[in-house]
Parts: sequence; structure tokens; C-alpha cells
Amino acid sequence: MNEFLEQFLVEARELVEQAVADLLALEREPGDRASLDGSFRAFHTLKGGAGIVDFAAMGRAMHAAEDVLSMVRRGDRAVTAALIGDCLACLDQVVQWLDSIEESGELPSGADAAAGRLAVRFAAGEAAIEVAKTEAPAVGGETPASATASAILREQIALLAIRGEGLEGRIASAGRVAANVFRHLGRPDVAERIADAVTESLAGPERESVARAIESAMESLNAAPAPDPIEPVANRPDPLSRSLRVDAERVDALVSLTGELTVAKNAFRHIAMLAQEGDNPLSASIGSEYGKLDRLINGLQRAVLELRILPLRRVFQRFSRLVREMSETLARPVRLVIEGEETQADKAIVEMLFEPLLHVVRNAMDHGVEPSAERAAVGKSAIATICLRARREGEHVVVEVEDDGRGIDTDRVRTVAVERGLATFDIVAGMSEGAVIDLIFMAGFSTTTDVSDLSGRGVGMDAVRASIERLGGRVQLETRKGAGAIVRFVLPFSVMMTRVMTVEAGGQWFGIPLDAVIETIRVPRHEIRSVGKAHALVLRNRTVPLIGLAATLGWAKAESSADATVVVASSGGVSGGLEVDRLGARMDVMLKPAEGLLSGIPAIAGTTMLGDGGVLLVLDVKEVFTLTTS
Amino acid sequence: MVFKILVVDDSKLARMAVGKVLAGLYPNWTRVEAANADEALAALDEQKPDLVVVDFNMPGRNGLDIAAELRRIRPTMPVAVISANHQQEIIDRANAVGATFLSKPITEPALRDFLAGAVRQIQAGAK
Amino acid sequence: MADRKMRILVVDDANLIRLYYRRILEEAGFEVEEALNGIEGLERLLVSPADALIVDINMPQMDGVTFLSALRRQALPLSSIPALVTSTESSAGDIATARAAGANFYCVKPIGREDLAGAMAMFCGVRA
Repeated sequence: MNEFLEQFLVEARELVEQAVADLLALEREPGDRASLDGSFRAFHTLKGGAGIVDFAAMGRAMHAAEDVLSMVRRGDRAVTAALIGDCLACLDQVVQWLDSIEESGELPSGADAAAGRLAVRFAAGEAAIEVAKTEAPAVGGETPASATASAILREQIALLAIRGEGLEGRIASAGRVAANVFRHLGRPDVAERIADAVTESLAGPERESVARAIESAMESLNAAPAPDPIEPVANRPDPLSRSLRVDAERVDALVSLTGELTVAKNAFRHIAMLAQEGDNPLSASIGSEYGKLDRLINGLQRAVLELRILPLRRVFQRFSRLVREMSETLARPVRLVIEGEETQADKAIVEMLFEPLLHVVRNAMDHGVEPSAERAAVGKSAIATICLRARREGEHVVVEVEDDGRGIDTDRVRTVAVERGLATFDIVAGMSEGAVIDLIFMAGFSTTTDVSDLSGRGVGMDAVRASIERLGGRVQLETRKGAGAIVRFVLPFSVMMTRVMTVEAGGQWFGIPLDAVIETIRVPRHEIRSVGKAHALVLRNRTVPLIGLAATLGWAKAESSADATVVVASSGGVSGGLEVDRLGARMDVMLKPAEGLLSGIPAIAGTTMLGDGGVLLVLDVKEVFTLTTS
Repeated sequence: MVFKILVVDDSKLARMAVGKVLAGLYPNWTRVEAANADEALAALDEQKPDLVVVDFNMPGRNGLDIAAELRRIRPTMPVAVISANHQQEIIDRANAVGATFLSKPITEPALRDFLAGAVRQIQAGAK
Repeated sequence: MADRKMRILVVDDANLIRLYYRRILEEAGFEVEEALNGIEGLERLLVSPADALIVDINMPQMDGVTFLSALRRQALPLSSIPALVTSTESSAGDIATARAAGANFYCVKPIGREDLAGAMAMFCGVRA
């Protein structure tokens, strides 16, 4: 792929992200000039970029969107849900094109057809929208009479979007009809508000007030109190901030190199120790230089890991659009509130958080949030709220998804668990509320009997928990029946990637932190000395204690072969040799501190999950050696 | 003669495009890039370019503003404003601050004409 | 507000249609006036304004769209009279044209009794 196309991809993706944010902000606040200008500029720049790489079809599509937004800037068109939807659809197509380019290295074929469709959509938005299909805030649970009322109201909104001769008459008649519809429905208060909006609109240049007044009035059609004002718009990045675009691969290479540097540093430390023990006259200077090197390399490691830190905004922003679409598909009014998106976390976490979050959000929308009628029946606001929030707590990053839906019915959970054979009736009956909630995380658990096309099959909370634990975090679930639920991810702030050497002993795989490993050798059996009950071997004129790893930890020892495989390791001033059955690969793992049963086993520093679902026990080398000497 | 040209555009892709056309015309000229008003002014000071090409459509201060400022600081330096937007109003405003208007996407003939004129202007000024 | 009867002007060149609408609307408590085409319609409105209109697209002399466009260009409050447009056609293009002319709603013929009475009640703000 040539460099122009590569640069185009990078810039286009950023522009799309910014444009989506601006469009959604504009939808929430149609008077927000900054968002309007921002969206316009994004499409304009995308158009320019498309021109540079000769992507004519995309240029045409961008031009169509740009034209429409230009009309909005001039005051010739109002910001409506339909218009925003069309612009978002346009950006969606752009992302598909970008993905195609990235895969094939070339401009996509067949783009002309798609661009043509988008252009038609923008043109159609001005006039030929079939009444029944006009987009508007989803209002659920309608009776036939109110369905007609909704249809009529939506039509007035469409009518208000038309410019040209007879504008005054159209505005006045649309407002009159809308107000009368509400009088008919027994809401004279709403009718008056709309009538006021008409007067305002006819008096001054602000033409959008009537359409908005009708839209917000429609939200109150179900006789529920008006929802709270929408939360403030996402933080806009400072355009003048000093930042650098760097290839992710280069950062990863740097992280790898730093890891290797750590290993080398430790080899050096060993030599420093030897020098000291050997009363080498250079030992003092070697020791002090090592000290400096140690501090510098630790600092480098921290700084490099920080290169990988990104704001969670990246993940959260994708949900604005998703929630909006899911809300439409499910015909359930939901608004998304995002808090703390500037909170930062390691790139690995930010990237891998999307899938589990998506599942939790889908769950909340599909099963947590009740249909409007049900909400109204218990006195809740018509529009449900899902809050996506993040914050830093010490060494952790906490990410929460909170909904104000129906919460988790623990009785139902008990029933289902028994039905699915996950637990017996007696056990379940005796469980505490907290334990019952934990059942949700078991594989094969799901309380829905219908397969909704949103949540998909078979992806349960067990998969979510597994993903989060693979990242070194944990999942918590809180709920109040009838009031909602909170799913909380507690994640490590920085990814403690430990480089380990894997070894097998007694049929179990262990990880030995590489920075503790000095060398690996094969020792003929006859060279192993017995020292009382213990064993030792002579290495370069020094006696090194030898420990059979399997035996020490209480595992059965495999049959001895002719030569012993020994890993010579040192940690915290204690050193020795570990006999293992065989050596495995080196790998980078995210260390999760040992918990529960495992924390009772000494010498295990932590665990990590392997790709095949198995668990790798990572050794605390110092403890292993200390155990045997005590 | 070898000249130094400053290209101001928030899109790196667009700067690359200008660079490509420039390389086709005058491969031995040097090129300095800036992504916004601040960088442009800093580059003006540190790099002392002979001429400037500025994109109109930028966040923060737009290209016309920057062009006006550049002309104020260096009244004899040739400046061009580029835009995909061909509205007469923009063309007039560009001319009003003493800048030439160029259409986006930049083509060889258009840039060549501007550069030829700019070179003449610089050489005339140098005498 | 609910004391006086709401007046509906029916603009349609077909006798039968006008009779049909009159029956339904009078039964629902509305007062009904009739016009055969757009020109007559405008004349009627200038004399005694209606609270809502039902106007057919296809009429001789002056069709529904022309009539409506002309109406919307008048001065207030005449230009603000709610208008229901009827037609035998239902294409998006026709709906768009009607909307552009200033129709507040569009119904395809034949219109049911409930739909007609209901729509007029909503257009006039009569309590359900």
C-alpha cells in the first residue's frame, strides 16, 4: 500500500471518530454551533482526503453530507433525527470502505453504487419520506388512536423541515395541528407550549423551535414526567495539544526490548553479587554502577509502559452510536450517559474491553431495561438510562455499566440454575443472595427463553468474566430488584507483563519469571550430591542447592532419566537450581495475584490463564528456595 | 534558485499531496510543514521560508486568518490560500489580504503558476 | 373552546365523496361545508374560514396541490388552516409533493369512518 493510502486510512479513521462524536452532540443539542462546524469540517476534510487518493465515490458521498450540513449552517434546514441518522450512515459506509482498503490495499470496487444510495438518501431526506417511516424518538406501547396521533405529529415535524414559499403558512399550520392533537389527547399544557413555540418561530429567525417543541412533547405522550436534561458533551481533545502518532508495533517492540533489557540487567546483578562475594576489588564500583543501571532501567520500563496508556474514551465512544441503534431496534427509549471517559488505562486493556462491555450493555438493554409500558406502570421515567463510567482507584481502573432497569431477580436465577442442572434445589435454597448472583457467571446460564438477535447465543457472563480475568481483573455484580444493576470491572491500571519461562514438573506447567533465571543446564545424575536430605550440585566451583520442583510443591515426581534438567535461578539474594521435567516456551503473561485456594499454597506468586484455558502457576522463586531451607 | 516553502494544513495527507506536486515541479526546493497557526508562526520565525501555502479549512484559526497574519509579519512574502470551497467570497477575502487563491485538490499547472509568480516576486523584491 | 361546532371544508369534485364525508362528520359533531374545486375552495375560505380542510389531489379547474400552495401563501390566520390531503395514489413522490405544498397529513382513499372523524378531531383540537 502506498504511503498516501496509509496516511489516508489513519486520518480518515480519526476524522470519522470525531465526526460521530460531533454529530451525536449535535443531535442532543441542535443549537451547538461547535458540533455543527466540527461535523461539517470533518466531512469536508474527508472529502479532500478522498480526492487526494482518487476515491471519487467517497468524495461524492462526503460532498452530499457536506451539502446537507452546509444547509443546516445557513439555517435552511433543521437538525432532525433523520438528518443525523443519514450522516451517521454515511460515516458507517466510510468505515466499511476503510476496512476494505486496509484488507486489500486498494480502493474498494462497487463503491459507486453505495455512494449513489447515500446521495439519494440525503436528497430523499428533504422530501419523499413516507409518513409511516419518518424517524422520530421511539415512543413505545401505543394504542391505535395514539398511533395515529404519533403519525400526525411526525408528519408535522417533516412538514416543518421544508423551506421555500409559503413557509409561514406551513409553520403555522403544522404548529396548529400539533397543538390541537395534544388538546385532543387532553394535554392542553403541552398544546400551549407548542403554540408558544409557533409564535416565537414566526416572530424571529429561530425556526427550529416548533419542531423541537413537538419532538419533546412526543416524549411525554406516555404521561410520564420529562426526563432530566442530557449530560454534558464529551470532552473535546485540545486541537493544539502536542502529540505524536506512532505505530503500535513500534511501541510493542520498545516494550519487548525493555523486557529483554531487564533480563540482561539481572544477569549483570548476578555478576555484581559474585564480585562482592569473591572480594573482588572492583566489586564496590560494579555494585554502585549496577544500582544506577537498575534505577534507570526500571524508570525506562515504567515510561515505556506509559506509552501504551490510552484514554477509555476510545472504547466508550463506540457505544454512543450502538446504544442509539439498539434503542431504535428494540423500540425501547434508552439514553446513554458516559462519565470519566478521560480515565486512562493500558492499551491492551482498552482494546480488549470492548467485547465484554458490549455484551454487558446489550444485556442491560435487552433484558435489564423494561418496555416503556412496564416502566410507566412502576412510575419510572419513560426513557431508561444506561451509565457507562470509569475511574481510577489507586492501582486499579474501575469500569461500571449501570442501568435503571428491572434488576436481577434472584428467585428466577435460583429456578433457572436448578432447571439447567447447574445446582441442586437444596444447595440453591441455602445460598446467600451474593452466591446466587454468582451463579450467573456459570457457563450455560441464561434466564432468557427467547433468542434475541442482539445478545446472541451462548455468550454469557462466564465469557465476560473469563475475558476480564485474562486481563488481570475481576468482575462484580450488584443489583437491586426493580431498580437496576451495576456490572463492575476492576482492572489493573498498568499491565504487569511478566516475562516467564515455562517449565513442566510433575505433570503441571509452571512459569518462572525470566528476570530470576540465570541459566538452564543439563546435569548428569551422578553429579548431583546429597547433602543430608537435600541435594546440591557444583556449578563453576560453587555449591548450589538443587530442588526438585515437583517434589517440593507436593506433586508427584516423574521418573528420573539420565540427565536432570535444571533451571538455575536467583531472587532476593537466594539462589539455587530447580529440577524440572522439561522446559517450555518463554512468554509474556499478565500476572494475577493468587487468590482463594491458591493463595494458601506457598511459593506461587500468581497465576495466569493460558490460551487453551489452562492455568499457569507462576513461581515466587525466592519463596521456593526459602521453603526448602527452613 | 532553491527556495524554501512552508505548507500549512492540519491534514498530513493534504501536506503530502502538496509535497508530491511540488516535488514534480521543483525537486530541489526544501519544504517545511506546519499543522496549525502556532506551528506556522513558529516555522516562519525559525525556518524563514520564502513562500507559504495555507489550507483554508482548519480548526481553530482558519487559513485566511493565518494568511493575513503572515502577510502582516512579512508583507513581501508570497502567500497562497488553498480551499476546496470555491465561493467567490473566499476568493475575494484571500485577495483582500494579498494572498493568491488556489483550488483544492492542488494541480500541477495551478501550483506552477503560483510558484512562477512567487519566484518573480521574490527576485524582484531582492533587488 | 368546545362550545361551538368545528367547521370542516370538504374540497372534492366527486358528489358521492362529499356526501360520504358529510354524513360521517356531521354524525361526529362537525359542521360541514363543500367546494367542488380549488377555486371554489379558496372563495369559501375567504368568506368564512374553516377549522380544518379535507382536499382531494385530483380536481379540475384547480387541483389540490395548487390550491394548498396558494392557501399557504395567504396571510395568517387563513394560511394556517390544517389540511388533510386525500388521493387514490400512495407513492412517496406524491406524498412529498403534497407535503411540499403544505399538507399536514396525507390519506389514501377510501378513508375509513373512524380515521376520518379521528383525524378531524385531532386537527381541530376536539377532546377525545
